[in-house]
Amino acid sequence: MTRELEPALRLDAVSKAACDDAQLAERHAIRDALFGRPRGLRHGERWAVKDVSISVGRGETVGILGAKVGDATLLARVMGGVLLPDAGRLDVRGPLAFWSQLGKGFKPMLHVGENLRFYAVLMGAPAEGLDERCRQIISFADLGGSERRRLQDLTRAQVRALAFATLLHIDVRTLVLANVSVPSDDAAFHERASAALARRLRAGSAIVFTQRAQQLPEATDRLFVFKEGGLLSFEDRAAAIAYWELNHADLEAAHAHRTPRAEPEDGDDEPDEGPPAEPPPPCDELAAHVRDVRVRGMPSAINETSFVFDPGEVVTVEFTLAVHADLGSPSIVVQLNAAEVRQPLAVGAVAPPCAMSLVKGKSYRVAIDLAIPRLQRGRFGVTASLVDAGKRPVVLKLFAFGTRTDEPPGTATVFDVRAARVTEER
Amino acid sequence: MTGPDLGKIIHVGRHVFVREFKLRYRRADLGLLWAILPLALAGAMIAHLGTRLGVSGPPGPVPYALRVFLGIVVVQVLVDALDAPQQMARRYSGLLATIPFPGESLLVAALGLVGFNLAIRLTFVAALFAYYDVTPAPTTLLALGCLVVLALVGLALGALIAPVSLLLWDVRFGLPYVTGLLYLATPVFYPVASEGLLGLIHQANPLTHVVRAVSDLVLSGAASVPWPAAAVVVVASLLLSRASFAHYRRAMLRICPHV
Repeated sequence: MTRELEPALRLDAVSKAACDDAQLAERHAIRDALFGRPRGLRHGERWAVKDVSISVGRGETVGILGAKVGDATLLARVMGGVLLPDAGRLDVRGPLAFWSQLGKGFKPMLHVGENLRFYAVLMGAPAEGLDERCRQIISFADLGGSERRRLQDLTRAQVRALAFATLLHIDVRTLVLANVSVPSDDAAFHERASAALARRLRAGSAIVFTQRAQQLPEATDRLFVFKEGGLLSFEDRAAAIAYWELNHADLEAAHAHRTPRAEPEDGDDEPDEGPPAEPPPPCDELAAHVRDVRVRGMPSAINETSFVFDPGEVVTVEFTLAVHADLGSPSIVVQLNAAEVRQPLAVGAVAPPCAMSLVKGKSYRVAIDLAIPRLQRGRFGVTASLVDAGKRPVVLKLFAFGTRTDEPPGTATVFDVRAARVTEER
Repeated sequence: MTGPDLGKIIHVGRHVFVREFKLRYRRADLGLLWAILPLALAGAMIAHLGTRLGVSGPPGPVPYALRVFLGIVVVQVLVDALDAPQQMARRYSGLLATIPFPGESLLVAALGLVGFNLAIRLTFVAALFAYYDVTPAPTTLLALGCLVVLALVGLALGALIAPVSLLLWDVRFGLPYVTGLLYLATPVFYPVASEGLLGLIHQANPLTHVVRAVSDLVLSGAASVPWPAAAVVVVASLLLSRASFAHYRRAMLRICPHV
């Protein structure tokens, strides 16, 4: 169903190139900055977004399901005005706000009021009524009397609430949201902010990028799934979500090996407060949890045990999953990260691991055989996530030592996950 | 996409400047004194050494130290203006890659920082005038105009190189050496040479003429200022600034995602 509305944001055959070799990408960027970007692809580039055309009308809410760390993020950033398209045309009518990292730019040593004023101005707040607006924000975040306190004296939950409250209090016609969720640390704030967000989405135009189907606003007028550089349109919400659930793990795995560079840090000497990370959910909200981990048949403790593996060695990792929600038949994605580095060096997926469904209230013994890739010396974490649409992933961590490949930075090898066996525990 | 309006650029730029100011001095008990101490110490040392080493030239009606400080103020305006866009780009590239605010506002903030530093230095120089009992000429206001144009030129050049300096650190590391050479090639600590290699360098160095013009305007009136040439320089500066600022926004959007 296409609605004829005056467009608030229009993309006309927009394309965005990506280069998976970070060093090459930097050289291209320097040339682009000096001489402008030539048409077409250059050495090492591929189209991450290709010929996307979409018109978002005034008052319309569009949902786009896409992998969080994939090319969908590039499209979101182009729509949000922080990246230039490499081809095509982006037309925005009226003020636009891009919400991606809550509280980015907050400085712990500055006062709450000073941080708020600056953040609000960056997000588009006009000079008129700025003080009054800041008071409203502080009041909304339930932090009355905190204006002269340093940000570092607040809890991270309070900082998250403050950042989200700021976004809610800036008037713009068009919103682009990229994987932004309402802070859930405080139930009362969550309820208040969710209602305010719903009102904001109804009041203007919005494009909501998310990887979690449950984060899509109820009042979404149109739904798309971002796949292979383009947008697949779905008439029916349930069909879009079902398609996403079926393909989610594959898309995440496919994108993981060509992840765009991490968001650049604010280069101040003073450390940045934002963006505050969402805390892990309490245990009763987890879809499942992991216990009784064994590596090579030996008992292991999550996050605490170190092993030395040989390149090419096939290691069997077993664990028990206590399932707290119906998970269907999820995929298992295995990632290998260098210690303290989020971007995976290697990714592999088993999809789905078994014919049986993982049912709420039951426990399952899962065994994964994975082949250790060649690694440079260092400490590496192995993470196995159950991936299904909408549920928080269940994470298993252990550590490995080894020698890394000579792959260029920014790329990840395919992690060879040979097999996975799942049996129900009695 | 059309660019943001000037009002918004100035509004955001003002807040960036205020934030920078607070971040810079909040944890310093001596506060603004740090804005003037480096200049005062370096200038005093150079003036002393210049006199001792005999590079100060023949004694004139204006004390050597005063001439040195006046010259430092002029050259430092250019140095600050060249460096400030780089500083701002380094500190705000992360924000520019996540929040769509006008990048030109960073240049407004950079101009604010240059202006603030200039104001501090001029206050210091004014105190020196009082100390040496020298009365500035009525054309001093025109000298301020020269400094504003110089700041604009520096900012325009700084804006051209700032985006690239984020990824190409040779630019970042090399700029202090270039500005150091600029100091040496400009008659700040010694008199203008009229012959030999140094004479050629002084003739070719535009900053020589600016330093002389400002000194003349402040100390003795506008006698040596070639007004038609000055008008051409002003117009060219404005055109350069306009082109450079337009380039800056797009260049930053290209570079910032890779920083």
